[in-house]
Amino acid sequence: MRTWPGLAAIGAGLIHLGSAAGTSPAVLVPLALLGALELLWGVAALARTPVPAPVPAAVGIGLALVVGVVALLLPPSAARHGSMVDLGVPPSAFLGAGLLDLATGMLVALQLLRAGRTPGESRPVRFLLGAAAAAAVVAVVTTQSLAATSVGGTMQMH
Amino acid sequence: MPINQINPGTAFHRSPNRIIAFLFGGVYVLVGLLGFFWVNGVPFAGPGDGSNAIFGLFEVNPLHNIAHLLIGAALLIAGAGTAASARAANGTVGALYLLLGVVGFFLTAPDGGRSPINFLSLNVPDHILHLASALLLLATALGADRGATRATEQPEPQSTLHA
Repeated sequence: MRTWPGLAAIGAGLIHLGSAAGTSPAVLVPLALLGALELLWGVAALARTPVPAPVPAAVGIGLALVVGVVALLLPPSAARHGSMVDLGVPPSAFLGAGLLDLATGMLVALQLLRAGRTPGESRPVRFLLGAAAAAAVVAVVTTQSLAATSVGGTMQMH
Repeated sequence: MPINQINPGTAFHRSPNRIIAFLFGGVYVLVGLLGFFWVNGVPFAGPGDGSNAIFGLFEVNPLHNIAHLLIGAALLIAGAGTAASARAANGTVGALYLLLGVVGFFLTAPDGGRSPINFLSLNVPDHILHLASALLLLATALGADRGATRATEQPEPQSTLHA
């Protein structure tokens, strides 16, 4: 479970970076910046125990979630008032990234709560099974979220 | 000893990096060999028509198979060595697969993946597999056997016979 926050953050970063491609600069810059930060923090979280900078990370995750919710609600809300807002990013990308960000936040909180406990005995197979399960879930969510964006919109299964 | 600490002369069953390098190495060599049964009439470095998918899922071409064989061999050799060599190989292959996981989307975007730019004949299941491999290899390289370097790691202790 130690690797899960890092893997979820890398997945969210990849979705934000991938969905930024082909959008207007006003959307591209914040999304690419957010994606790069998530990717870097995710790699750092894999390399360090406990996770690095948990409080700034929690604030960043909160902000990313707020941005995701606003981006999801803005187009339908604008349409209801007669105007059109197109961010160039499909809702599924924000949903996928939001899901992974939420998971990251919850896992960081769980690790902080368990911070005082002494680490268990070394179990390589258990470590690998846990990492493999998280890698598989993150890979499926990330690929499906990116498949709906401009870079993956025309992809076929085979 | 925690698995993220220095563990000189790490035995195979105690090193997550050696286990995963050996396992992934074997699987990639097997997939690389198996793939040659599905590339009849497929360009060496271009997309196929969909019939070139291993078990109807993962599209390949001859270049893709050769890449699998080379990556598998590198992981097998590293996994048979020390935890430090396995960790270095896992990190390098993981980073390359992460890059491919992202760049792959741009290669498969034109013409639904049937453009010549898709030189590895990638499809969605390939992306999922490459990304999952990247994440697992990176997580293991960065999260386990952290102190294992060529300088710190000693050979596994040999049993000695006393007369």
